Parts: sequence; C-alpha cells; structure tokens
Amino acid sequence: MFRYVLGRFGAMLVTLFLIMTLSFWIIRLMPMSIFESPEVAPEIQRMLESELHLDKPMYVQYYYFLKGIATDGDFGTSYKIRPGMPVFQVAISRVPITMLLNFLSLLISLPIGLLAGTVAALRRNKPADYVISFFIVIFISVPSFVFASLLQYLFTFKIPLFPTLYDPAAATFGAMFHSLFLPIVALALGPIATIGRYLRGELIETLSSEFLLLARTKGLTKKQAIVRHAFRNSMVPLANIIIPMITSIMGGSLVIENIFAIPGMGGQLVDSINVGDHFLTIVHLLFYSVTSLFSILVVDISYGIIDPRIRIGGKK
Amino acid sequence: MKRYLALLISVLMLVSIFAGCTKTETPDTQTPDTTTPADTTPSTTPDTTPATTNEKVLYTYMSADCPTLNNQDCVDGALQTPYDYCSATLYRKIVAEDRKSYTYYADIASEMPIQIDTHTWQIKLREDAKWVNGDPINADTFMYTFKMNLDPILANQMQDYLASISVTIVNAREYMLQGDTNTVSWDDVGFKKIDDYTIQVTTVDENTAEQVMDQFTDRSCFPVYEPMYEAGMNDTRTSTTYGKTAEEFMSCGPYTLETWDFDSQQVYVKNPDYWHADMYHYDRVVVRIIPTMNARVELWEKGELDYLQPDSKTIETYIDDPRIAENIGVTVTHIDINDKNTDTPILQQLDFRKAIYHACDREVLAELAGYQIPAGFYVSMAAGMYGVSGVNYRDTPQGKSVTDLIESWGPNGYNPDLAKEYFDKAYEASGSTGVVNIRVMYEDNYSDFEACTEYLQQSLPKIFGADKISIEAVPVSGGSTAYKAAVGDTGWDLSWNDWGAGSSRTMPHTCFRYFITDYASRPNSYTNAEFDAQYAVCDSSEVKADYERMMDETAKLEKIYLDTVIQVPIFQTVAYDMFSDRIELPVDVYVPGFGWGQAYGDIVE
Repeated sequence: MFRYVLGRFGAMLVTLFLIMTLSFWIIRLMPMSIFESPEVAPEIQRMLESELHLDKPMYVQYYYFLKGIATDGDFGTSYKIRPGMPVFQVAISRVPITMLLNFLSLLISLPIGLLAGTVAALRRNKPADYVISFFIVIFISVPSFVFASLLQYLFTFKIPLFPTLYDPAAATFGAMFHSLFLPIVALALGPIATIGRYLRGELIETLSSEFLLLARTKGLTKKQAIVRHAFRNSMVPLANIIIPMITSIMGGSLVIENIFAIPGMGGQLVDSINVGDHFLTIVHLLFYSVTSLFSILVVDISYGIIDPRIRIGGKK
Repeated sequence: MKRYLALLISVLMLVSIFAGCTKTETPDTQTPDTTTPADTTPSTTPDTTPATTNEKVLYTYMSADCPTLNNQDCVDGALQTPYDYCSATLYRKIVAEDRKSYTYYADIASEMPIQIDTHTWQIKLREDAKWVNGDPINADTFMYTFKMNLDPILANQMQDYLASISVTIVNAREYMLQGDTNTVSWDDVGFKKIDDYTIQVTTVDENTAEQVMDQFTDRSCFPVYEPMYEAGMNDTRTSTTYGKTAEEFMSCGPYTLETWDFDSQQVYVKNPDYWHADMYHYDRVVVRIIPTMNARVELWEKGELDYLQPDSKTIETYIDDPRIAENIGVTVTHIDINDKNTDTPILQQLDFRKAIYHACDREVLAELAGYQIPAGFYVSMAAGMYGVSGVNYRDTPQGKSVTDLIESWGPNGYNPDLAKEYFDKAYEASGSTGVVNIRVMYEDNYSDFEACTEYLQQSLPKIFGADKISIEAVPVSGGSTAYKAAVGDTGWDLSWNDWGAGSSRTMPHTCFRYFITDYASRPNSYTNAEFDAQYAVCDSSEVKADYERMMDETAKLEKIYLDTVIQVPIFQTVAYDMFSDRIELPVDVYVPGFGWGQAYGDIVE
C-alpha cells in the first residue's frame, strides 16, 4: 500500500510537471506581450522585456522559469494584476476564501443530496420522486451562475434578506457566512442534483437486488435492510464523484465569485488571462491541477477502504 | 491497518479541503501619528463601519481595483481615485465660479509658478505640507520623486507622462531611456532644487503657467514617500514594493487610506491635518470593487451606492431618469484600416478608405452602441480650451467648418452612393476579382462592438454588392491593439478602436498624436507626411500659445485627416452618470478635464 501511494505520488509529480510545461508554453504563446500597452512607451516595454528575458526564445524563457522555481521557489512576478509582486504570493492570498466557499457548498450539498436521492428512490414513481427528479434536472441543466444571479436578485433586492455582495469587513464568522450564503447555495445546487441523481439510481438498483430480498427474508425490517445493506452498497460509487466534485465546484466558482464580488481565485484567474498576466495564470492553473490530482489520488486510495473487495497496490 | 488507512484518508481529505485556509490579509490602518512603516497599526475594526448619525459617508464603486498604489509604475486609470483622495500634489484642478469650467489652485505649491525666463519656472512649496505621519514634504521630496520616476533602471511605466504630458521637461526622456549607459546625468534633467521649499523646472518649449500647472496635476507627478520607497527597493534597484499594500503606501492628501482589501474595497477617512481640509466634506469614503453591472444596479436601487454609471445595456432603463447626466468623453470611437495588409490589396487604396468612411451609417451605429453621438469628425466634442475659454473646439468657427464639410457629404458623412462610387474605383484599381473578404476585428468583451460589426456585416455588402465584398467578424481577447501587434501586418483588415488615452482636453490636436509616423505604438498603420507636418505645426510653441491659431491649425489637421482617411470615426463616446439625491456636486454640468468634482461634493441629506 505504501509503495502504491508513493508510486502514485511520484506519478502525480510527473503529471504536474507536464501540466506546468504545457501551461507555460500555451500561455506564453498567447498573442499578447505582458507589457503590451499603447500607454507605455515602446522603449520602456522593451527594457522591461529584456530585464525579464522575455525578449529571448521560448526555450530560454522556460529555462529561466524552471530555474526560478528550482532555486528560489519563484514562479515569476505579476506585471498586470499586482505589478511587482510574486505570483505565488498573489495567488495564495486568494486561496482561503475560495476554499471556504467551495468547502461550505460541498458540506451543505452532501446531506441534502443524499436525502433527496434516498427519498426519490424510496418513493419511486410517486409525486415526491417526480418533484425531486424535476429539480434535479433543472439544477443539473442550468449553470450555477444563472442561479447565482437569480438568487441575488430575489434575496438581496426583492426580498432583502442577504447582502448583495460579499462583505470583506465582516467582523464575525456568522456575518461572513451571512454574506456568503447565496453564493454557497448557488454553488451547491449542482452537486446536490448530482449526488441525488446518482444515489437515486444506485439505491433503486440495490433495492431490487436479490441480496436485499435475502436480508428481508432473514427477518430484517425494511428500514434495517435499507440502512444496513442497500444504503451502504449504494454509497460505493458515490465516493467516485464526491471528492472530485471539489474540483468541479471550483470551476463553477470562477463566475460566481465575480457576481458576488468575492475576492477569490476564480476572478483572478479570469482577469489574469484577460490582461495577459501570464505567470499568474500559470500559477492558478497549477493550483487547480494540484487540487484535481490530489482528489484523484484520495479517491483511488479510498476505494480499498470503502469497498474491502477492491485491493490496492496490485497485491495478488 | 484499515483503521489507520481510514484515518489517513480522512486527514488527507481534510487537508485538501482546508489547504491554505488561513486568515485573509489583515486590513491596515494609517493613522496620522504613524511615523514609520513599521509603526503602521493593523486595524481590527471592520472596514465598513456603519456611519454614525452625523458622519458623512460617500459610497461609490470601481469596476476593478488598483493593481498597486505606486503611481509611478502603473498606467491603470483606477489609481486616480485613491490619489484624488489620499494624496496631494503641486497643483490641483478646482471648479471655477461659473460651476461650468475649471481652474487651478496651489496644493503643495504655495502659489502659481513663477516664470524665470522663457523656458524656466520656479515653484514655491508651502512649508506646512506634510505626510500623514508628520514628516515634511519639501523640495527634496519632489526631487526624489521625479528622479525615481525617471530612473532608467527602474523603468517605471509612468516615466513618459512625467517627461512630457502638458510640458516637455529638458532631458527627461533622454535620461529615462539611457538604460545603464550613464550617458545623461541627472544634473542635466530639467528639475532642480533651489532651496528647501523651491523647485525649478526647465522645459523644452515655451509654455504658459496653465500648462506648467496642468503638468503637475498629473498622477505621475504626485510625491512618493522616500523611506517606504527605499525600504521596498530590491538589491538590484530594479523594482520597489512601494504601494503594493496599504501598509506600503503613505497618504498626504485630504483623506487617509484606512483600509485596502484588494479586489473588495478601499476606505478613506478624512485627514484633519490636511492644509485644505475645509474644501472636502465627506468624513469617510467607501469605494467598493463591483465587477458586475447587475450588482451595481441592485445596490443603487437599494440606496447603497451614491453613484452609478449605467452601461449601454442598462442606460435604456435610466435614460429618462432626471438624475441621469451626460459625460462626453475625449474619445471618438473609430475603425482602423490596415493598409499594410498586402494579402488584401484593396486596403491600400485611398478610395477604399473613403468608401468605408461614407458607407458607415453613424446614426444606426451610435444607437447600437447605446445612446452614443454619431461623429464623422475625430476631435472630441470635449476637447479644446474648454477650461479656459468655456468654448470647446467643436463649437468654434474652425471646428464648425469641419463639421459643415462632413455634413455636405451627407448626415454625419454617410452617403451610400458616394461610398459605392469610391468602392468601385478601389475595386478596379486594386485588380480585385470575386468577393473580397474583409475581417473586422473587435474585442470580445465589448458587446457594443459586436453589435456594430454585425450591422456592418449586413450593411456593407448591401452598399458595395454582395458579389464584391463580405465582412467577417473576428472577436479577439486581450485587446485588439495587442492582437494586431501579435498577428502582424496580414492578420487583420479593419479594427474597432476606442482608445484615445492621453488626449488633451486643452489642446485639441493632441488626439492625433497616436497617428503620426514616429509614434511607435501607433494603433493603426497608415502614415502620411502631410499629416505629420501639420501635426508638427499644431504642436509648436507659438501655435500652442495662440488660441485662435491653434483652432485654425487644428481644423487644417482634421481636414487632412478626413481627406486621407487616417481612420474612420464613427461615434463620439458618451458615458452616462447618476448621483444619488443626497449628493451635492460642485458643478452644474460635466466639465471636461475636471469631471463632476465628486471629491469636492457634499452630502446634504
């Protein structure tokens, strides 16, 4: 197991390096100079480019980029979003609020999604199932930023229960949560629907399986059979989707952060692409890559724990 | 074993979720008694402290935050807001008594500039000017500020503005562009300290006192606090961290930067020690960073914003609101024509340029862009000595003569028959056959340009013949000017452009500066010797000093521009602003070059 994890970790680092290399080349090949601006004298633009080796061939630039990381842990400097600041520092300052937003939305989507899926499965082809399935389809089909705008309009303007924007000066966690509530809900709707749909499908299949019939014939009540056997078996495939969901929610927060003026990573990533702050874009892409790769690793390792029949590490 | 694994997985999951979950940057406070950067006291109070009953708080917004507060190394216009409120400079603009124009007043300077000879001016500084921490602001402050801004190694982005915006400083440009060659000494640059409270400025041209004062109202000339600037300097002296955070910035203006939550909000509180404190009336100014228009509108409707600038989509809702007010910009949105593209020979024909000029129905295009003003001219309706004479160039006889010429061709120059005539000549002369495909480039985040391009896609083939021309829309990201540079001479044909940065309100010819041959960052490609020569005439000292001649020569320049179609003007850019009823502004109308004077406003509820 340890060797397996170590191997996977090594593969993760290699993948990360490849992603970093690809990101660097693709981003730096974008048709825009970092200092391109009609307001900055061309001579100054050239001086700045020369100072940063940006006037050299791409492979030389890449060498300096890798050298900076290897020797000083320096991923480069921001030139547009926060001129002169190390991009890693600029990006990392945005991580807490984005992670909090995503964590809280996942936290509320889990119980609600599980409840919705269970109720829909147990009330299959009944009004409760139809209602839940209807909302599941809506929540999956409509992008989260549409809900965000709708919630913002309804609950900050028409019925002013929440602030329109995120409150950066909130003195308490409660006050901060209050200003984050709508974006959290908007982000959670998609995952709620995904979890609900998966669980409904799995549970319906399990409920009609022979081992559950056996459990009932052995004398278990319906509730006992569902909780002890059906529910537990249906959870196995869910593990595959819940952990990587962090990454997908983060994708949704790219736009939602903008709508609620949350100073998170999403808005900064989009801005850095738009203004051509290349090294900042690369660091953001790396962060998303690390999160994704780490999620995949955790899922793979968790297989063996959730389902003892699955052996990890190729042990025969 | 399984228990340990389960524990490990749980820990990993928690770590992945909580990774980086540390407290966000603590807001920092600058208090008037702060003495050094290290003494800056972190604030634990919320930024948006609710206004007490008597506290006057202005709530306003910006669409994007300032990348830095270092005024020397950032051309972003967002910096103007914190600098208007939290910094002082030698001279500032203030509304004139008629409430319709502006004049200058001495801020850190103690009086108007004193002319020593034709090219030399002395500026006396007030002796009570000080930073918010009590350190004095004197001639050394400005010498250090100017030297750092022009430093050839630091290569600050605002160097060019200090070297030459309203006046041209002797040897400033030569000094800043010398790199590490040491060919120009700082002693040769036209800034000198005469005594502790007097500086001397030497200019290349003869200038008026107004022009000298105008130079020092620019953000590039605002002082920097030397101890912080030096403390943030790296070993190679190629960059400084000055202004990167609130604690690395020193206020000296009517307000103090209390907190700066990057990309969230800036809060300024009144500085009672400021020498002109009585000219400012708000106790506190809260500037929210609000990227989306929907959120701005909701806050405005809820009364949580005192200012709103509706965009082209939102303006429809507010156009009849009595609070709406026009704000004529310095820019005339236009179409650049790439005459260097040899792949499309018709682009090199003057007749083609004329054909495009006359084929654009500016009434429709201005409407599509959201209540803009159709313009067959290029010198903005807001440019030209407005502040001094109260009359802008377009309203002078010279300006009107150009407008009359344009109207003689058709409404705002639109004349499809004439356009067709020119196009047929160009088509034949260029040896074109079949359908000529013209690529119209626009920035994809400008929906107005997209709508206008779609209109051209339909209208131009109708005028010129669908068998002869087709229009291809090319949306680009990251700025069409940058994209043009990237795709080279053959990568584009026509391009929307609304860039007019740096166009002077007082000297109308300066809007053409970016189209003369030796302007290296020229956003279009067409060059014309006659146009260059006339621009030089307009830019000469004698013309700049003679108002009537300036109008005459500018009209000649604009006629050459139209004759040779340097590019194709489409509509005068107009913004629409709204202020809440509780705000009393110092002006009756938008004053070009001064604005609404929001900083000098008051709360009257």
